[in-house]
Amino acid sequence: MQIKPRQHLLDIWQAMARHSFDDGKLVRGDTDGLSSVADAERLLCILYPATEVPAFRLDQPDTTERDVLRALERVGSRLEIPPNLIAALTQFMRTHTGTDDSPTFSGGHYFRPAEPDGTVSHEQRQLGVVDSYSMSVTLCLATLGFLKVYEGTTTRPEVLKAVAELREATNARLTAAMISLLRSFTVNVFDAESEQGKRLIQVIGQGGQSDRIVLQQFSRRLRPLRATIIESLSRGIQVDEGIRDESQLFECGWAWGIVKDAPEITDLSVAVPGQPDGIADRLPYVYFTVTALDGIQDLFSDRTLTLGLLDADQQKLAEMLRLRWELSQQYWSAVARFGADRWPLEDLPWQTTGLRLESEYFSLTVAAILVHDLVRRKATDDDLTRTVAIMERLADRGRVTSRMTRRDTTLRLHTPGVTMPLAGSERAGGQLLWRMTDFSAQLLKRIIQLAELSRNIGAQDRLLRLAEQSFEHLWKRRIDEDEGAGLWDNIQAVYPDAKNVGNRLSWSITERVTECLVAARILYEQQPIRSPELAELARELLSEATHLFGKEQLEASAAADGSRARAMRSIESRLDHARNLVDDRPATAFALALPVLQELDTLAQARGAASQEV
Amino acid sequence: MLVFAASDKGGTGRSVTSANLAYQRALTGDHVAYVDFDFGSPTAAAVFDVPGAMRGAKEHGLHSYLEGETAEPVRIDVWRQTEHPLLRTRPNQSGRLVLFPGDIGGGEFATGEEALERCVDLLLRLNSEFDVIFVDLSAGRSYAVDMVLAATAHPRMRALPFRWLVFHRWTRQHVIAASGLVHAEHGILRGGVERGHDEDALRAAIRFVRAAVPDPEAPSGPQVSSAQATWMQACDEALRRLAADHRIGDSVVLGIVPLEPILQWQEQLITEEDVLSTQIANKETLEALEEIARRLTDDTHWGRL
Repeated sequence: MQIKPRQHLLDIWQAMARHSFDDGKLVRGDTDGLSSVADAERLLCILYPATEVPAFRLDQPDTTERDVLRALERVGSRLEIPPNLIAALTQFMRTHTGTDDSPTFSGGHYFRPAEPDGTVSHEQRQLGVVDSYSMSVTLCLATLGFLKVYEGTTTRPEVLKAVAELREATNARLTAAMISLLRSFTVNVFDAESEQGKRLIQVIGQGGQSDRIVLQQFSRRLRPLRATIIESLSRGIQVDEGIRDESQLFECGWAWGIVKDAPEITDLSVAVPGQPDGIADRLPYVYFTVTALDGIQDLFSDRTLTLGLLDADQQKLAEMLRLRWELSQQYWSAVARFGADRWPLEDLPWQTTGLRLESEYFSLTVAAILVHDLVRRKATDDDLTRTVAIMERLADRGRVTSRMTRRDTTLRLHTPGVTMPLAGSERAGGQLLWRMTDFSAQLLKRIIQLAELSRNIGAQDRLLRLAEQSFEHLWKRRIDEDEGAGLWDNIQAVYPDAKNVGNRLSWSITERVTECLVAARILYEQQPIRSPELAELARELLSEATHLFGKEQLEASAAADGSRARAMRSIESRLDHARNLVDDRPATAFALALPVLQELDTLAQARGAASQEV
Repeated sequence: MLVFAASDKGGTGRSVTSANLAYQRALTGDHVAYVDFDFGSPTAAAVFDVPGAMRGAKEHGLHSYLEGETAEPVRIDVWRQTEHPLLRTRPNQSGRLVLFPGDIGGGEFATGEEALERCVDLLLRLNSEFDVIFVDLSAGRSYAVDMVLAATAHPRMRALPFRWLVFHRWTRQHVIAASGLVHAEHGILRGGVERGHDEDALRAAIRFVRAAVPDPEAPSGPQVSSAQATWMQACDEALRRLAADHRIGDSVVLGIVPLEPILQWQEQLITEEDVLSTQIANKETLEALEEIARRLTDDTHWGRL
């Protein structure tokens, strides 16, 4: 199924507007307001495409496209959509603000109890989580950009007041989210002889070499990173002194929430209320690292820079986050590709070293970091091709591109989903779990990112086919009736074996699919990959055609506007056009050259026939 | 409610469209007056098909009234005097539809204090008698425009609600011209402010109507090739951006009237009959006119942006 970003996004918008808006107002469902993650995901379904896709902009009512207006009819008319969105965003900011006026980032019902019959207490629901910080960064940046443009188009005093109010709340939330991200970053130092150390050595060594050599390679390869961590990481984090010891192993990345004993950020020019004490263990999770990376990269996107969305404090925080962003990408990318032979990442499924979990989901998250790193460094073809193969295997093993067998245990990957314990959460009561159900959507997102990156026809073709298959799988999983029709997730549509799982509206999957479609648009916006072979052929075709045309021009032509003269002019202009295209779109140039050659041949043959007859 | 119909250039379909709007409002039950201030070329009578006043009234028209030559301008009851076969039977529930023609060969004239007072008198009187009063103004920044700007700023008229419709065709030149008529140095806005209007309030009462807009996607529209359709779409995009840059973008557009041969060539009222029985007019055109007529008094389409 071909991905048509514009049409599919409009479908999602329409379904989303039908579900979530009534007469321009955001409807409050049962679970709304409980989890800041879900609420942010819901708003991003509209705001993210509106920020990233020019045709979907809503901040300039003058140029809002008609198909967009049709899809968002429930949100309001041309002039009412922006104020209604502002109202919905203001409602979100208000809901997720604590009693001391500080923004809150509750995980809410996304937290699960570890015990089968356990419960999650009210205090635990209020705990912040990296998903929410990261999602908030994206949402706040989208909101700030939206306000910046929209503000100039309106003169209504009540709307301008709402704009100012929302901007203030959004800025506060953005700063708080960035601070929380800083305080959730952690470096875990451990001994090679410890349980975790042994597991890490086993994962990266792939059993090929002795532990001592692996350890040596590790410290040599990661020496620059270690040095950066020692020298430059100081704010919002306390790094274990053990890091200075080269025989110690380490991991860096994001814990699930603010780390226990993480120092407060104090050197900002505007004081921020509420920097709650953390409780998370100093244990980086690959999953939360990917989540954080996704949000942080929006901080230095072109749009953020050109619109000047960050204030001085936020710029300072963004710098610090960028360093952590770089460090974790480099670390995990190195670990994923460790060694000379088989990459640890190619050994599916990935084993997490800290908590000893294994799942295709974790392979996917490690691959996601690798993709981030490849995007940043402009990957080599070899790295890319190997990553493509990993994606194909993950799609297959995750039963996205292949059939479920009877009593297939892979079903658990999708429903109920992969869970991981949140280390340290027991400090606030019972142990909590985090559950991921968006394997397919995450997979598609990374496939599209890779396809965007690939400049090699073979690899890109494989990726596109894979993307289309995954997308078809996801598109089938939309809920088809009742509440949330047109949104996700109806797992039974693709896995009939999934008994007892009804339609379950999932904003996280809906939001991921929206992101995928936005990324797919960027993919199509690029120039197609040109085939050098075809360019060569087209050039040769054109050369022959030009020659023959020159020869034909030697013949006398009768009238200036006769049919022959017109044919010659048409040939000339088509040849010109084809020559202009040969570098960028060789296949098109090739196709244009063929009829010209035919026509020239017809003229030559006709002349030949005449010379025989006379 | 007073509705002023203005345009920068001739040939924008201002008269024929506003006459159609008047007709639509009358059909829905409003008492409607159509005041022909198009001094120079009074043509409204032709649109309504009232033969006696085809080129304006012979005497006692609006010119004579404004110049003080007659105390009461002549009025024509369209339902009764039209020669249009379909209009002669006044539909049930319809309101009155009365035309106030200009004089034959009246031409433009300078307005003075007295003419202004008479204009105010007339509009006040019409306002108490009718629900909607369409005032068709000559093209460009004419005396007629100045007069009604002054009249609506007049202390006696302060409480009277009014709205402006600026008609323009959907081309580069017309877009720029229409924007100029409103926003330029000598535009309606500046002129209004000079005569005592509040700029924001006046701007909030101005909307645009795009006339004769070709739509390649309309099911009953002209049959065009895919290349033509693609080209038209791209041009339409560019024009919309141009309009937005000239502050007459989609958010201040009250409606769009499709390209319609009947309006172009015959300059007549489009009736349901034309769409349903003879099918000489497109359904979309009638719907567009009905919609604009409805939006005239729908506050969600007016006010500040």
